[in-house]
Amino acid sequence: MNRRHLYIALAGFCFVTLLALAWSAPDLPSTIDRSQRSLKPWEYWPLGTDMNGRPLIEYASQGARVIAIPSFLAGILVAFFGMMGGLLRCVEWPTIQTMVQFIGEIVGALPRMVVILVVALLLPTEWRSLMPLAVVWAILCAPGAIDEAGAVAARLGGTRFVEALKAHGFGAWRIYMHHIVVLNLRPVLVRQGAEAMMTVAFLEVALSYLAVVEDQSSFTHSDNLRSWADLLKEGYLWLALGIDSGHVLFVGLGLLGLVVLTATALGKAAEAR
Amino acid sequence: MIVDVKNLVKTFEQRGIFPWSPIRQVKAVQGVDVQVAPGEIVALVGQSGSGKTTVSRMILGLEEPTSGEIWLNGQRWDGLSEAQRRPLRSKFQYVPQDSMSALNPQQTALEHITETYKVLGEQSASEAKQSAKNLLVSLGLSERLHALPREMSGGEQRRVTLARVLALNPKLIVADEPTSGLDPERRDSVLEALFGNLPKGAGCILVTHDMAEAKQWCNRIYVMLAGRAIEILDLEKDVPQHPYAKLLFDPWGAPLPEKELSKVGCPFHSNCPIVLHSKCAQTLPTLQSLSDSHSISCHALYTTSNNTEPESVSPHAGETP
Amino acid sequence: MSQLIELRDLWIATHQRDLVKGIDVDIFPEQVTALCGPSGSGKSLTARAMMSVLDVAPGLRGGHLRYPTIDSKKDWFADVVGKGMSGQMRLLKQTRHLRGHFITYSPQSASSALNPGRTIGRQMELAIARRPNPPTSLSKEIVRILGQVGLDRASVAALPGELSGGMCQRAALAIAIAPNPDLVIADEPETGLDPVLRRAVIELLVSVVRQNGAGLVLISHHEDTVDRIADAVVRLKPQVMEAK
Repeated sequence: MNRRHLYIALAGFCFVTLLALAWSAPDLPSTIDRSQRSLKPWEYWPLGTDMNGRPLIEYASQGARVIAIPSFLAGILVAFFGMMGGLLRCVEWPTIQTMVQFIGEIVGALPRMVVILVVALLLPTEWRSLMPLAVVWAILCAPGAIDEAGAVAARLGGTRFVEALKAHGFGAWRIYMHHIVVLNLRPVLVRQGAEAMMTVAFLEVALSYLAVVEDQSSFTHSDNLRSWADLLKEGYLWLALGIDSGHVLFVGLGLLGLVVLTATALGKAAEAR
Repeated sequence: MIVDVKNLVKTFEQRGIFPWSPIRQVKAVQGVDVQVAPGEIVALVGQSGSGKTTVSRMILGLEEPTSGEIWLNGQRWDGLSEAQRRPLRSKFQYVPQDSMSALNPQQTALEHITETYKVLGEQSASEAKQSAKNLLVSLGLSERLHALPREMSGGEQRRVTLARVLALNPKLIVADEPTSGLDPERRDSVLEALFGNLPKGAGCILVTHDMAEAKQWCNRIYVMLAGRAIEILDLEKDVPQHPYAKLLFDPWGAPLPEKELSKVGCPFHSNCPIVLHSKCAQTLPTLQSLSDSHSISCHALYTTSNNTEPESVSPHAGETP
Repeated sequence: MSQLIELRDLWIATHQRDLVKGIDVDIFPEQVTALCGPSGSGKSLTARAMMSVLDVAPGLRGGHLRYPTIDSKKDWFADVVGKGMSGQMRLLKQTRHLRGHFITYSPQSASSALNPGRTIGRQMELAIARRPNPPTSLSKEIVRILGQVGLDRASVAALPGELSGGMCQRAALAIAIAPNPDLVIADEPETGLDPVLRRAVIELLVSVVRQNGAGLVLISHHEDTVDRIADAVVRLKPQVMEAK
């Protein structure tokens, strides 16, 4: 049990850090101040500044704000779909099961990035934000979660498990919610949800990077906000041209690493016995 | 009577592949009466497809009968809704055939039983834990209190399932082939755990096809074939008379049946050494009592046993029509 | 008459404990040998050892295995005792040609014996092809063998999923007998069957095996079966063996 507590603490810490970042994001970008440009983190607390003298913490927090709610929602949605898929295996509803299977096969076969790009391009400019993309992404990830949860439920015994507990005298809520979802489906659902959260964050960075590089307006956020993709773009210049922006790259990668750490820690914290 | 079942019938509908394919009616149970008195252990024996499992499941309300009456402990059971039945279930418990699927792979043995005591036995958390510990230790599971189901052997898993049932002090336990797949030593330990710990005055229905088990533990035996009870007997007093029952008890003592069971008349008549060709092929025999503990469903035996000693073979045995 | 299998002093152990020790088994052609004992006494392990399948690590600590009808002198365990898994894997490779041909194995559940993706006919073809002189007319032979186990022509084109449990059991038996082996090992074929069906399955097994001139090793814990059909009985107790 001790390891589990450690993972919960780690996941909690990362989560809170990201939330704090998102919460503290300023609404407007600060002014350019060339006298402060390209300062390292130890010179300008906490993360240093970019080529134009803007503090990197601004990029970090604004990026986090863009990602926060949509990625969380995507995680919840995927976990919810998975839960429904798992519970469906424990009841005798063959028509609905076939239907879900059928739809799942089709959706699961779609190439995710292509669909997201198409949706991103088709969205009218006023609607451009990460939220609708995150929802679409969650729907695309749902079949995987449904299949995995269904497999766990089947291994559990499916309808026979439910029947045995019902015959014992337990009520429906206890059987479905406590025994099946909380005790058995939890690892799958949390892991799938955390993975969805993580991939939405990456999705945002990828789409923003695309927009920044193509000098287009962003697909996922209003243009006066900075995002983590900006960090990566500037950081890339250090690799390509030797410009003094190595610390920017590391901050960008560090933020992505923080997201991965959160997702992994969450997954491990919810692991089965 | 703890269990009083009258004229139980269950017909399953088997659908074809297409929505317009004809629906086949499978008559799993065709009119069965079962009684279990307090303290009695009753066996339902028969081959797969004889209806014994379906009868036991209907008695507990896990399947709805097509028709018939089910009375448990003086209360009518078959018309009740699931919500009405739930509070009563703690007294009428089920030990399923596949014990692994009744256990939660994420709960230890102790957690399983503690939950039962707390949620259904209405004890406090600490009381429940203590009662659970005591019960598991009395069943020989003291080493496995904190083990998950996958860390236990098959016999131990079955004993945990048994413990969960016994914890509620039920009035009726229906055990569906609790020893299937176990070798003789394990069988004995599981059955001893069950019968050695039966609450006083409780009834038990054991569904099995192991005759030795039935002989050793049960007061009365219902022999089922093709959805009906063809012989009911008390092995301390009676000897099986029906040719099929005799075969179940001693499979090597008579020739093996070669023909399929028939749907008209007595199901066994085409394989029967004492068949009365006129009657058996056309009319279904009904259960008649030979003594107050022994009933049999057989044209040949009932007519002869009315007049002579029970053991008698018709002069037409072995003839083909 | 020389034995098909001569097994002496079999000793298999894990790092923690002995699984099987001091077992002697003689299998004669066309005889029915029963292998009895409670769970954990090593019946399956002994049966697999007879086929030169050793899959426990570190495994074989002692013993001698001869197949006198194939090679009267060679002790197949000679190079394997004490050599751990690598020795056992080597033995497995060396004896590959024996299994499915000289000895066949019919597992406890038919679902382990049948490939769910291939028709019964195709699986029979593959089994018959293992004979040293396969007949030219495969389809006739397939139908003949299926007839022996009580399956009709329709099963040739059927997939295992389309057959009932009992029919699958019989198909598995047909596949075990198809290569015309000298010995069939049947691992607890009576599990989960009612007494009448149990007798039917055992009688079928014994008659088919006898018809094809093979021997049978039957793993069982049902005393009435063993009394009725066994010519020889090997009783295993956990770690202690007592032959009859």
